[in-house]
Amino acid sequence: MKRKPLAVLSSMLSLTVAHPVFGEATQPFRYEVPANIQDFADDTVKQQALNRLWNNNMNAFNLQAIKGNPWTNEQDSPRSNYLDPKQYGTQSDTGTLIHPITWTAFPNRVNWYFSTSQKNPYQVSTDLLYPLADDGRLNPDDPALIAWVSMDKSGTLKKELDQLLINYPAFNSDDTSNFAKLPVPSDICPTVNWQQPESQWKTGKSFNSFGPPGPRGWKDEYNEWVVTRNKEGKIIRVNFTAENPEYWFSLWHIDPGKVLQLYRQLVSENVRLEDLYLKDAQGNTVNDHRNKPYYNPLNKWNYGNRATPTSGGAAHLTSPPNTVGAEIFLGAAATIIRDLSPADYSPQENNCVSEYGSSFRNSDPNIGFQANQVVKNLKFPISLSNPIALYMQRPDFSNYKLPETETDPEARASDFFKILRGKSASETGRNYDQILHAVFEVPADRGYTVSDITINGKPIWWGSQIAETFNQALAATAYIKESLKDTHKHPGVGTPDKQQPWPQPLVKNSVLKTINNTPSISAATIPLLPPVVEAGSRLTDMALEALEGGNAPRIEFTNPDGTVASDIKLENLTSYTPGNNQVPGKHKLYSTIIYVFDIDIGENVAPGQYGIRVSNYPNTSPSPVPAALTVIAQQ
Amino acid sequence: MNRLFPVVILIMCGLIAACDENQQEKSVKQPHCLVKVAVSPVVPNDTMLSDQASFNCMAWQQFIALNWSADLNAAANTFGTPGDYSPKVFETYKNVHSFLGGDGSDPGPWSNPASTAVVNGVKVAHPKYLSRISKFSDGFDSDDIEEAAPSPNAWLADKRGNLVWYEVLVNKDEYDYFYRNGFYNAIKQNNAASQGIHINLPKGQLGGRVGAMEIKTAWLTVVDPDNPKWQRYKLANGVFCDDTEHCTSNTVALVGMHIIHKTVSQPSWIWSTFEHIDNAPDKADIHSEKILDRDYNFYSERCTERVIPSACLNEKSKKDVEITTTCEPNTAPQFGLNIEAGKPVGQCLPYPIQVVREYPIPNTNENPVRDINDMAQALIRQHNPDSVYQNYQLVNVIWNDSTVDENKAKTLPVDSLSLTGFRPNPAAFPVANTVLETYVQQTSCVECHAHAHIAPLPAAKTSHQTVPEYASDYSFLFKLAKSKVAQPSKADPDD
Repeated sequence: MKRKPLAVLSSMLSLTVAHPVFGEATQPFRYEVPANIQDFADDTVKQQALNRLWNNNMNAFNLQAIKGNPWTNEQDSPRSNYLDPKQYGTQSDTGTLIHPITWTAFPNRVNWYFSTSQKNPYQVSTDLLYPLADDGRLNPDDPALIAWVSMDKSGTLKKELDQLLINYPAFNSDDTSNFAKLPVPSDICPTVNWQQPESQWKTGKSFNSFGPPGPRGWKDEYNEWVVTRNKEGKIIRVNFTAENPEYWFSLWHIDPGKVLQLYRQLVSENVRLEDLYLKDAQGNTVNDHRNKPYYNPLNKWNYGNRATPTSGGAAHLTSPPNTVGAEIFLGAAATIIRDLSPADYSPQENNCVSEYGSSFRNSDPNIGFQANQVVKNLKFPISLSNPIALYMQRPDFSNYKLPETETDPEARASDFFKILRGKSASETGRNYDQILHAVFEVPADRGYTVSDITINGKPIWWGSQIAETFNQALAATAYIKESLKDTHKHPGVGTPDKQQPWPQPLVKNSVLKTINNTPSISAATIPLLPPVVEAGSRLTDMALEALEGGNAPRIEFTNPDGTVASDIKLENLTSYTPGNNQVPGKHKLYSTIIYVFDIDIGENVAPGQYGIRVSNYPNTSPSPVPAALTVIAQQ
Repeated sequence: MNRLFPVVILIMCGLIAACDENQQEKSVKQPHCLVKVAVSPVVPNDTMLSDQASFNCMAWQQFIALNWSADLNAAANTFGTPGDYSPKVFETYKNVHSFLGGDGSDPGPWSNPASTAVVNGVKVAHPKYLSRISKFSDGFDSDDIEEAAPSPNAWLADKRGNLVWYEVLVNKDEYDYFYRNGFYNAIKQNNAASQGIHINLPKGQLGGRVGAMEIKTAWLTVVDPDNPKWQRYKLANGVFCDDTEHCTSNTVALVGMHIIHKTVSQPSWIWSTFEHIDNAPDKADIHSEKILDRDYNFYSERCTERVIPSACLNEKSKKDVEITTTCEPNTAPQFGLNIEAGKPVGQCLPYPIQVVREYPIPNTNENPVRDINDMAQALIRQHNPDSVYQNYQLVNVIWNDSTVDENKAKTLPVDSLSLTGFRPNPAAFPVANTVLETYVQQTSCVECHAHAHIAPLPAAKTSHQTVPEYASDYSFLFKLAKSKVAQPSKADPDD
């Protein structure tokens, strides 16, 4: 493609670019940990080990995102306009434009599917959406909900609640592992079709319940919060987390003790290390491929929506889509230019044809559209900005009112917002905050609670009221000195006539079995990182799930150039099918199979990241999933 | 990680010969505007990027382009010259009274407004009809002096008791849509709906048409046009006619402007609002007894209550004690007005309304409106140091980060349209203009516009028939259409 004349660019655009510190040498690109947080600030060896691990993990996510999905999709690979930062980036970000993309943290799908501003059958009023967004249910016996509806002296809210529960008793659910089971249409593109017959509100044979699954699954705008109440039901603290689970898995890999320490700081002094272990149905600790206890991200201290002295809390994100891997995958998918009529180039239309995110979130269609606009309108290739993560933004407190506002106009609600992990914009040098974990809490000496503060005249009774007042963010890096690598206008994502097996992350079989056999966590996808293994070692009983995989596969490890890595051998192959042999994707059902095997890594295998390929047919060589296995030198 | 220092892309500019160093020094930096705001007459058709800052910058570009001289070749250094009464681009747009209301008859194709009017034998150049009669209007319309809410009695007067007038205009793309589809007629709207035809105003698209735009302006009656203070305002010759076709004229000053624009990237419209910087102080500043930085038009520190003539009160309000006006800010008037040829008449005359801004203009990382105002005002000043437009400010822009075109649905959208996904979130951050939504600043415009629907059939009022209230694409203009007699349906509207 022809490069844009710089004169045209400079006359039209006013780009804010990152500028290197004068005289500083440009360093090779390295993926930084989220917000450059130094969890091992007092232990250089561990911090460096974490940095290396994170760099490898992020490299895997980025390469896999660029690869896209050539196995079960058409027109979804490669995502060439998403540049590999390792090739094009530097630590200084010279010659790039940093574009923050933000969105409201309140889960917009709760609005779309339940609020009175949409044509859904449920018609939940705004004041009942707050508890619904907080807890995923409306339990009429919940003291907090009782107190909330009783604040409406007219009784209207109580009547609404009563009527809603008569019409839809499922709102009153006691299952805390998921949002209340309420069906929603499956026909959602380009907009929700509420006229779709309810009998068709299905994905495959299963009814399409509102989700995503998990104890905080519906808080799917990449921010999850947990509320702590006092005996009177008033909020004394709200913890907000935007931390991706992959980072915590990486931290666990380096030092479970550090994870425990952080849990005790962020959640409760009562957390014990073994509370954090993944355990099977018999209560036995499940080990990873290193024979070390595996981390359970949905442990009782990182579970649910209310914190108590014995359980509940928010250490990091848990909703299945709230992962940094998903963020990168979406960002890369959005760089494909679609063959949309100019009159149809909107966030929802682009999302529908590209299938990069869930419709009606504040986040996905918006993130994808803005990323695509940088590519399509500004004609710059992109990647996500280092350090890649999901970041909470400081709330806008302008409409908060404290009890002492009348007597002390200088009192500020913003004083009660504390960043526990991450940085504010003033500390990052960029124009967006990099907040990972924050708390909103009134100091004890003030003599009142969070619930005595109002937002637009309403007492803060639910964390979701605060979630309406802040944004989440990520940032895209536009490479303004590079041209687009793919200017073709692609048709929408489709399904090929002949699908190929899509390998999922490698994991110890006992881990995968435990996850699949534990309903409370199986529905909520657990992010799996590429195993790290020394050259000359052997991994036994490893599992590889393959969507659309066959019964007689050819499985190969591959070098970064795609050739077969013959010194990484796969042995003792068996397979089984989990559950009903089907897993739901975002837009369709996949057949699935799990292969179990041992892996022999030769002594001479060079350190690096290796791909994995599964073929159903002897004569075909589908694309490998890049960076599925990390090999390090013998220690 | 290395510290990064944001700088304007002058780095790139430094790479090319075309960049004049002196120009760089003089240029106003626009760090928040990826696409630069230009002092130019080009109305943007959409944004290159759909984020708050880009919409804010686009809003300023719209404001500048709409206030550009109707002579598009005018030089930038004449932009906003004080005392310039010549028509601006937005003043060439169609006033809704010129094609909606009345008997629903054909208003004819797009045309430019009359360049002169004769009022009491005196020629008035570039008249701005703020109250008038025509075959498309029933005469004086309370909408001419009343804000959307509360109802009734939502007129506004400044601290001297001078009345504010309102007008609603549409651009050519929107007018053509009404005209080609016959939607100036209530029956034609309903016929279209019954045939499953959507109300779907045209969307602006990059490289294509501008798309539908609606402009609502607020004009303050000026009784002392020679006062130097009016050198800070965009002025116009207001013309006011009553139903006996008696007209008067008076200078009016622009104090507020809504601009809404439907685009491909924002099918739920982009909602921008501007106002004069001298309108009203922030409520917080009043509360903290901060010394006010200017002489506001709609707020007086010496406000005094006045006795309301009993003739102005309705029977319920009449008591033994005297009823007075109030200095409590943002309190709607206690009585309605009688207007004849643009003049309040009788005992019930406008009185000063005390106005404050309930919600401050934001300046966050995410939504740096005040910074962008400073930038745009400096940019205007750079081209014309005396420009009146440096005295206007953007209040905010509402857009939608998960916008969905409900006209893509197979079935006709009915009241109400989606209210979700708008930013700033209306529930948490109401956006209001102090002179266009004085009394309902707790409500953002989209919260009402989502309920806009087509005009009722003439028979529907009497028969109480229940017909779906078909949504009218967030526009309140459709319901202004009337019809005297049944019209044959017209198929296939052209968008």
